[in-house]
Amino acid sequence: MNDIELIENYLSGEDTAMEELIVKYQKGIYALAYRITWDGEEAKDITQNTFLRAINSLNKFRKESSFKTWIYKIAVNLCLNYKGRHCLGHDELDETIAGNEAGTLCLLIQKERKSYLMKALSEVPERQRIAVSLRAYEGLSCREVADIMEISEGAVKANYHNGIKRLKELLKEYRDETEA
Amino acid sequence: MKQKHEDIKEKLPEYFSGALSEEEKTTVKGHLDGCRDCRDELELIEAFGKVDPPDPGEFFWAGLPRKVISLSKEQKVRFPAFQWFLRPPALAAAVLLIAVPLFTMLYIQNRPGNYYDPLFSDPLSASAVDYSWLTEDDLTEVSAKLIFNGDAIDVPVGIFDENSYHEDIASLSSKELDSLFRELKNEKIGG
Ligand SMILES: [Zn+2]
Repeated sequence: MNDIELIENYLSGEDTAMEELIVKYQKGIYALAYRITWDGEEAKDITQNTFLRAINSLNKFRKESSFKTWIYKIAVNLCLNYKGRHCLGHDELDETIAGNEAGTLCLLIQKERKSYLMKALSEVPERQRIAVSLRAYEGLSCREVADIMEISEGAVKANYHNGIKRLKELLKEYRDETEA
Repeated sequence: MKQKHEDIKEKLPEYFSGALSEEEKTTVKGHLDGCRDCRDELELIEAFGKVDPPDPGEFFWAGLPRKVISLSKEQKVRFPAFQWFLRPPALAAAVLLIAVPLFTMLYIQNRPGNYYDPLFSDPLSASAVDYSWLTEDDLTEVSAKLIFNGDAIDVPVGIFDENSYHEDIASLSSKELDSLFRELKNEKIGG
């Protein structure tokens, strides 16, 4: 059953149809919210509120755009309204490292590299981060990302490339630091 | 070659997420073998792709769909009137319903001539006329003229003789006074 059919079934009283839709997109929305806010609790709230807002305004959903693009748009707007972006989750990164119970050196190196990558992504400007996340990790086309971010396709490409460029620079800095 | 490099670079996110067709995949793969820049960029995308956000756990994922649906229903039960009120046609109707009677009342109360004045039908515009200059003699004369112009009232002329009419009117029974009042009214002389 496709998304539109699931929505129609939900509107005619089948709650399980909406449950199926939420299960289909919840992890993607959460990952996106996390990559933008760098706050696990906030990402959980944003995920819940994205679906809540979507259900409450299903009458505003125009079927010419995809349901996926529509809910991602809601999620991105909620993320942009996120007020607690004080330190972009650096506390959480430290927790990840401190809470690491694994004993093997390999895992420790892996964790460190991961947390560095997360830190680097968190240092990329927000709009570039959104463009990179939506293009690379949500597998959305430039057209879809433009629709979600309400900017032109050209601006999506620019944000994406600048984001990737910034990540490359940050990774180079990291390599230089560890080698020094 | 340069054009192809830019085109391929543009497709790397889709290549990574597996959204390309088999044919496109083969083209990208072929280019990657000979292009260091594109290989580096793909490696970067892959590296970040491996960074998973902290998993909120199975309990969160399993409960979320039902939680969201029941929250939505709760909100609909809690604010049904409110949601109805937010619809533009309903809002416009509600505003009209309040504004129209309010403005009508304000207009009636402020238009020239107070139509709620019980004396408004008085042809002499009693409320606006100053009678303080009238003497008792004037009153006797005016009253007699008014009554006898009508020609329909059978009132003993004596009651208006000299200054004695006060007494005579005072001696009339309430029934007689009523009928006199009614007769005066029928003559459209006014109150
Ligand atoms: Zn290339």
